[in-house]
Amino acid sequence: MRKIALALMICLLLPCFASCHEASEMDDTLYVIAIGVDQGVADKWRLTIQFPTMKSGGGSSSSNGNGGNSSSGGGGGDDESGQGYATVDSPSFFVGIDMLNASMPRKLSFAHAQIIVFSEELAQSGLIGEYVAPIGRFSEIRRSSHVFVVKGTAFDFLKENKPTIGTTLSKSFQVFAAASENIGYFPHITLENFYEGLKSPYGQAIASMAAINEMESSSEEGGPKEEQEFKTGGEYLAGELPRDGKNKLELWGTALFNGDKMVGELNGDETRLLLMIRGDFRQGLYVMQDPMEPELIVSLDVQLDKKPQIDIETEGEQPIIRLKFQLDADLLSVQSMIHYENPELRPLLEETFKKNIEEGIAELIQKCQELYCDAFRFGENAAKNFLTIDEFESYDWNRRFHDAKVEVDVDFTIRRTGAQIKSYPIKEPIGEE
Amino acid sequence: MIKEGKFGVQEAVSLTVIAIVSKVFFSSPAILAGLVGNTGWYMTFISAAVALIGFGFIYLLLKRFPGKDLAEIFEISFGRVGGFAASGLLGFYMFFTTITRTNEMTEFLKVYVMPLSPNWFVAGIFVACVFMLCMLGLESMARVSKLFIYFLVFGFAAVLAMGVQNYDVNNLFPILGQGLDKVAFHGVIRSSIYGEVIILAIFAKSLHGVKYIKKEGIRAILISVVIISAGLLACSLTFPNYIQQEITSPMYEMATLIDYGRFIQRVESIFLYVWVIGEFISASIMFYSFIRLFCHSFRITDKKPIVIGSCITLYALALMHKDIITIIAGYVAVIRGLGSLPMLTLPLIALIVASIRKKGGDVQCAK
Amino acid sequence: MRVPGAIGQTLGIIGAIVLGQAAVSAGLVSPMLIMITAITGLSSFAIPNYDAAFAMRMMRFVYILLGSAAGFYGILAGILINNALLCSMKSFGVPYFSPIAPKTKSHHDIITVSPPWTVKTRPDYVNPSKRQRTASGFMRGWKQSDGRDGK
Repeated sequence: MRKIALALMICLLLPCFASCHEASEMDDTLYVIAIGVDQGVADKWRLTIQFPTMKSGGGSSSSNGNGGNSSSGGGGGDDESGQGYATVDSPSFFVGIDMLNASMPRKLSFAHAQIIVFSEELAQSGLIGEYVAPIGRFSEIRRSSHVFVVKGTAFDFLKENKPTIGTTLSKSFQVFAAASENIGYFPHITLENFYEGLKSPYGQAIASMAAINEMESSSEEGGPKEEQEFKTGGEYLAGELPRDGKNKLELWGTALFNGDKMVGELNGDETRLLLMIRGDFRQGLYVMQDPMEPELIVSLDVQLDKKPQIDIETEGEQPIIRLKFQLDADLLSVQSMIHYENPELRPLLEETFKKNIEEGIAELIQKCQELYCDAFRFGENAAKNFLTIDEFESYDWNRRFHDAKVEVDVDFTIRRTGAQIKSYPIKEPIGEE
Repeated sequence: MIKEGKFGVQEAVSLTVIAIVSKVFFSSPAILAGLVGNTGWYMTFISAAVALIGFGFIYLLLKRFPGKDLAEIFEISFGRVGGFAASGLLGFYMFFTTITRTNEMTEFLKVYVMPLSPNWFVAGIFVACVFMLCMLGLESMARVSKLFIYFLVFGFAAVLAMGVQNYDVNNLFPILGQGLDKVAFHGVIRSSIYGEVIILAIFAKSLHGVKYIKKEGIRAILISVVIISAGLLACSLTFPNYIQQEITSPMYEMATLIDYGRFIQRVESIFLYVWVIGEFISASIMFYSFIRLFCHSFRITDKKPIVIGSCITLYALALMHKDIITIIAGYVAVIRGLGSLPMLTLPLIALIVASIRKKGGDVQCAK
Repeated sequence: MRVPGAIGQTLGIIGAIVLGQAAVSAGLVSPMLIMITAITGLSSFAIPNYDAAFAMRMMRFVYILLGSAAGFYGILAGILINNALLCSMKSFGVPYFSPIAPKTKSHHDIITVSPPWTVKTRPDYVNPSKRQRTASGFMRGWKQSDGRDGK
């Protein structure tokens, strides 16, 4: 009994410690959702942060963002966009935080930071290594945040980052970035992946590209051009998609790094092939020219079920990479109404697509070899041939990749044909010859 | 008088397992990655094998002197003065381990969870808990560990299972890490990881008999090797070795990376629960064994004032270090490197000396 | 509580809701605290024993104090000390956490409860003079069912 009384008495002394060190109410902290890094004008860094402004009243409408602000007592209207941004030029990340703290009414907290955005200029000048180092050591920023390289400045990118559906900034970006799994036009790279890639002897780092699309192409006048060459829709680089709408942001393509310097960019199609080789590709809609009527197209829904089988020989002078994977597809549309579902014609489609993919992969790997960039992490498979870490590091895979010979074998099958098993031709208009 | 009743097999096993396993949550995986690369997970089997041999000697020693605990055995084997020195060495080592545990816990909490709180506050709460647990006695400690071990193992397994999305088997290759010779060398030296099994010998009077002690020791070492190996394997699968050596607490960072969509993310609080409670119990039992050895050496029967005094000393010494690297590269390195000496070789020496001097066993003791 | 019958229950619940809402709107307490107090209060109804539930409701406030002093770490310390104190207690000579904390032989009833007629031995922790419940060792001997349980 006396022990219990003793314990309780100690507990009653506890309120004197309340909130004196660490405690901070949700009302007193500003949760930063996005961090942007540019080369600064007035100083070395330009740090931009984006955060939700919690302006709606306590629990009033369903468009309320995060948490409630109890002291406002209902009522303050919603801002048009429920987020704010702030930017500062500073010599380092942490000094920048303190400088921003001086101008913000609340204390900054990075515990919910979801995206980190670097500008392309910064990446190309090879300075990212300096900037990523403090972020890795800082325990508040999680290593599961997404990393993007943006064309233009990160400041402009974050200014345009407004959620078009719903008002919650944090939700909209999370869902947006996770779309990589569904379409495959940009990779899903977290800070952990990027950080590992910067230091890795097994391969090089990549990051998703993002851009602001100024919507110029839809303001061009005139009808369709006379000679339309075949485009797959994935050939654009980030920021060049011909589209219009409220949302200016685009996540598209990959940035390739050699060490910590950005050396190249991949367009949408090339990114899909990259993801296929890495085994991260899940599903994507593809288009190809109809082999029997080249002006019309065939659409396919392509999926990668199993990870590719990669064998690497490191014995001789040149490493030999053997790549084998299997793609499955559902037939989505046949514009020419040719009966491709029948077993004689289907191999024709399969062969055509297979050749396209194999050629695409060969070109892609060639491109990456010239840039000394093993974005496919072939080095991880090469490591299986070595017994100790020292042997592997003295082999220097990243340098040897430049000379490697690649053999690609894609196995492509059209498994399902959608809701139709046969196409009957549409009738021609009568009387118009 | 603090009661030290009897407790059974399961409680002893859970107490020992918690005492051994708590250290894998700190910077051990990082240091191991630096020493042997990504092979820590099977290096630990070598350590366990060495520890099992060491435990075999402890068991033989206890079998020779049935019904006595380690402090008394030292006195009989080495004589009055030698026994005092041996108990003193082991006791001092236990105290040093407790200080290191307190320091590690304080520093890691300050890095990851509560960066703004002052050192004395975090260490103060830790020492207050150790104090309360010691005052409540050994039996309560054993029961608490039995109570919590299910939750701790479940939480640990949950974190490992949820981390599956970040595992990449390729991180385990090259399979031999820095070379098989280094793996073997470090495996043997670091067998002190499992050295806490000696608490079964120190508290031999509270257990039911030598036959049970053998069962408990072997089970404890086997369960701990599975847990530690699983933890190290998970760390090696998540981080390649060049990254793993940089991180302050790889297991915590691994828990931070779990992200399954909008709901299941940022779950490292589960991990914190496992870690902190395991560490409290582990530090308390090491501290209590120091108290036990100390009181036996000086023939003190009432432990309460000793507990109070030692806790104050513990608190003072826990605040003495200047920085975290002193702890990781200093104290912990000393414990790992030299730990096998008091823990595993001291009973071996006692056994040899006892058989030379013909004490115990079937020979009737004159004393 | 001391108001008779159904009025008492309803009054209690409505009073709590109104007070909570008013306190939050007035800005006296953060809504988080109200949520936590309400949820833990409701959860304490899951404890079958009235005295134990009441004790938990009292301990709630100690945990809130610990939480405000030292955050999650303080609550964990509180959980540990609380359980350690419970483990050291004995009620009528039987340790408090009996089938779990000291492990005893008969442990059929820890998480799930089996039907009483399947239980053949008395629990170990009460130190009964006779372990078996029936002399023959079979239960429900009076039930004549083709020699399954009966003779």
